[in-house]
Amino acid sequence: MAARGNSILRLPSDGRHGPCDACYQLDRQLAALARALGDLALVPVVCLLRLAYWVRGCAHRLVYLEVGRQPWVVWGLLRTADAMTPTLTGPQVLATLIGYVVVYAFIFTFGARYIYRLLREGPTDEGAKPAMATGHRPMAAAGPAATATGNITPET
Amino acid sequence: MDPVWLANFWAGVIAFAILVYVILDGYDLGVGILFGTTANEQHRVTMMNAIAPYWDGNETWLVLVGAGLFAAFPMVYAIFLPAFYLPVALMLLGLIFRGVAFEFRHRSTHMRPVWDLGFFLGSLIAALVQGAAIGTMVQELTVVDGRYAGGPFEWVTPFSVLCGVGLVLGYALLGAAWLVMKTEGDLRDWAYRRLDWLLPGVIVVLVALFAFALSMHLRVLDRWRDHPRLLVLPLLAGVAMVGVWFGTRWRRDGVPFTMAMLVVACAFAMLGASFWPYMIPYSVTVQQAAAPSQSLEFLFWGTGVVVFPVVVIYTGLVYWLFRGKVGKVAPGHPTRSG
Repeated sequence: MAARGNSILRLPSDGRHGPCDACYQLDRQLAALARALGDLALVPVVCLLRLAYWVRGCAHRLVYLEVGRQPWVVWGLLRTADAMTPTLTGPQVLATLIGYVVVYAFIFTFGARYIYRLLREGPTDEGAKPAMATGHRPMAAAGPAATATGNITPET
Repeated sequence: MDPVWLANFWAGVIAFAILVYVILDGYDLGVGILFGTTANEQHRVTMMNAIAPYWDGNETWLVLVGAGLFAAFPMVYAIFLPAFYLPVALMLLGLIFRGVAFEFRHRSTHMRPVWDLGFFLGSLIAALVQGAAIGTMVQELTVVDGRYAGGPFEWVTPFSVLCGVGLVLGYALLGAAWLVMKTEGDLRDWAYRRLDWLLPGVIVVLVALFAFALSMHLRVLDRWRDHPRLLVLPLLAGVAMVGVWFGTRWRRDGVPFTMAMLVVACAFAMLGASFWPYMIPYSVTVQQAAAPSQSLEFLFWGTGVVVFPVVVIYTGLVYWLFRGKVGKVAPGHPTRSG
């Protein structure tokens, strides 16, 4: 498949393998912002953005990938219109989309709160002990598997 | 490799994965359903501990079924998911609430009733939807030219809903039998008392379903009329039910679950025998639905020879590591010390 028209192979800016100007600028601004604020929270954002365009070419290109391929879902073989589930209607998709967004928003809110509370409480003495670990059994430091559910503390 | 053999091999793998899923996730969904029928906090904690090490491993079998259908029988996948688009989404939302309940309930205070309700309802909805899906398949889906052509609510009929209720009771029975096997003291006695009426409950629904099938003249009945030798399967299932009853009566902790597994295996074999060689009853056969033989052969060397045994091995390993009663015997098993 040659790089023609809106093919995904056409690069958004200079065609070299690297970030396009817009992403590069955004990255610089974010990095500057992170330095200025001294906020560790922005570090992962910058890291993710860097990762995104070094792995995938550039964050922009992900959009080009989907938009530029239209009207094909598999280039030259299957049109997006033909790939659609014939009986699926817009309201059904909307209903499930709203369902997922609402449920995830609810659960992530409380998940973040519980994680925050755990961080605030800090490590307990019990958790600091390396349980039954020895030099020969380092994995025992993880404690019994059920400690993961939080309702059990490691046996000491 | 012979394409017919390959397609049958993959049908066998998927059938095996469905059976294992129904037994394994069946009992942990069942414990989730029973969880909603008690307010005793000590029982609730022990019930959760009795399934905590296994439940997510059990659900990987559902992923194996889905991925297997997608890869080996894309036609079935493309009919099944559109036909059950809303119930599958509903089931996923239920399973999300169920999954987080394991992590959240012990970290929450005033929100605990919400996570507990989510745990119960999530389990209940998953069981109900799976039963309704089986009922809908038995009733025959509207399939035209190899595509689903029915509406979004074809899965809601009196027959399919009754199937859903049947599976809820069946999973609850498996769950009670699991609790009997894995717990002690008050909770075990409580689970035994649940078995006392869950077994008759399941039998009543099964009889009602059979009468329903007769009254609707479902095509599936012809198979049983033409092949009376197949009746050995329901006979064996009946014997296994008697086994559950005796296990409960004699208070033999391991017997009800073993016998309940046998009941499920027989019921599943009956389903398979009813519809073979069809994968979607009376419209798509195993051979018609199979992916091109090159795909199946590629899958055979990747998923069949490597991934599938790995799943079998880690499932076995988890059950061996956490063998015995909750809080006793095996060192890695959940204990209640804090």
